[in-house]
Amino acid sequence: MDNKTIVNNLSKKLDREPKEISALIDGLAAIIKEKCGNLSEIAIPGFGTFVPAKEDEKVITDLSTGKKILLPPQITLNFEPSIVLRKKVANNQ
Amino acid sequence: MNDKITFQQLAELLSSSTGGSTSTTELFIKELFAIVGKALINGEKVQIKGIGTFMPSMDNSTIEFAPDADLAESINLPFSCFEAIELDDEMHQALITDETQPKQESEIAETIEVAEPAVVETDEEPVEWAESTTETDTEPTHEEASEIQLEEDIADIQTSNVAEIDVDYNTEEQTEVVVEPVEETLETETTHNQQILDPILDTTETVTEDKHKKSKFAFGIIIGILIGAVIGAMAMFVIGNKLLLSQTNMPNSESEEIIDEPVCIAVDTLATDTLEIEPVYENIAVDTVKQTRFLTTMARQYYNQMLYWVYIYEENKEKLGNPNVIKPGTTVVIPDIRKYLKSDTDSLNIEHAKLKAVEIYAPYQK
Repeated sequence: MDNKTIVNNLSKKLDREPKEISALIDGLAAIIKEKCGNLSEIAIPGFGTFVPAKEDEKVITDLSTGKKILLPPQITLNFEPSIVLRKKVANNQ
Repeated sequence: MNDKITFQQLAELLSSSTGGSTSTTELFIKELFAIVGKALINGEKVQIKGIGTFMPSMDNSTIEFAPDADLAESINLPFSCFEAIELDDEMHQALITDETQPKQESEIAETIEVAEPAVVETDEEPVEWAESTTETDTEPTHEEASEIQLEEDIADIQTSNVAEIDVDYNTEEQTEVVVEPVEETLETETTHNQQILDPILDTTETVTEDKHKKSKFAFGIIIGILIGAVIGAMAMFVIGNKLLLSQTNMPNSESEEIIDEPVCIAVDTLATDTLEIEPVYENIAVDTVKQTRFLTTMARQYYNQMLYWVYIYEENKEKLGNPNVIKPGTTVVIPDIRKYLKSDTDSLNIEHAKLKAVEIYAPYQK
């Protein structure tokens, strides 16, 4: 399911213009950017939690060349699905 | 920062940023993730622009999420100035040493502690190992047997008393004498024994060197302190003599005026032939009493004893009056202290000065 399909589905359900839905999605993405950039978690009930995690700088070895590379610190955004969603996905297999 | 944004807060934030009502945004978020959830349950991959891609894992046990490139870049904006750097071997080594330096120090300390008993082996082992070599001449021994013998020796010596260890550490010559024959005999022994002994010898040499250096260092410090003490005592003696001479014979540099002419001349010209001539003492300086400069200050400066202020007072008593109310600006003559000191011992002179002070104060006490 791509973004366009989601927008169309939402516009039908909410009886809103796709443009408005796109703006709301962009707004939601902006909030996630801002909050997760500040290492704040965002919890969506019944769906899951967006969990940012800061990784310190580290040295890795390039196995192909054998050279050491110093990686800078970074924030990775993880998603922890809720138990309900995880069970539903597992049961639907 | 580091807090958890709830659904309600998220809806409020979205409503404030998009200008809609909170109920609308709540409904929007709920419906959005409901659609995504349904798609995931159906095993579909869902991509939301600006957020990322959700998809069920291979075994459907969890949901995998890959953030959008734009989102990942935005949340890593604080670290955008950094780049991955390829490290040279030297840089990598420097990084490792920086990280592990305290650990290495502790490891070195541990190795020294562990190696200490091995030093003792070299001290006592020449006899043991020499015996073992003679034994090999008469009766053949196996490598394992010699190894066991070595281990037993090590165990025996590790349990030997500390006093012996200390004595053995202090003499490098002794350890060298001990170590060399061991090496020679070991060369004739099997190479396996050599492999066993080499590390022990290395550690013993290094540890004995360390110990010897430490003992040398401590010995050097003690010698240095002793030499310093002797030189200091000599210097004090010489300087003390010079100071005494300068105080008695030379005027002080801080004195305002030096008197060239003798003030007190007690020479009986008539009886010079028959009577002993009394020594003539010249005044050593003229000083002025100030608000922060009293007779005691002067006495301390000129005589190194503040109690001798009484003699300055005595010398100038005609113009001083009450010693406690001397006006600032009063000029006083500083007499040669030998004029008043009646004894060679300081304690008697001080007692005399105290008595003199009582005498001086007596008329002014109510």
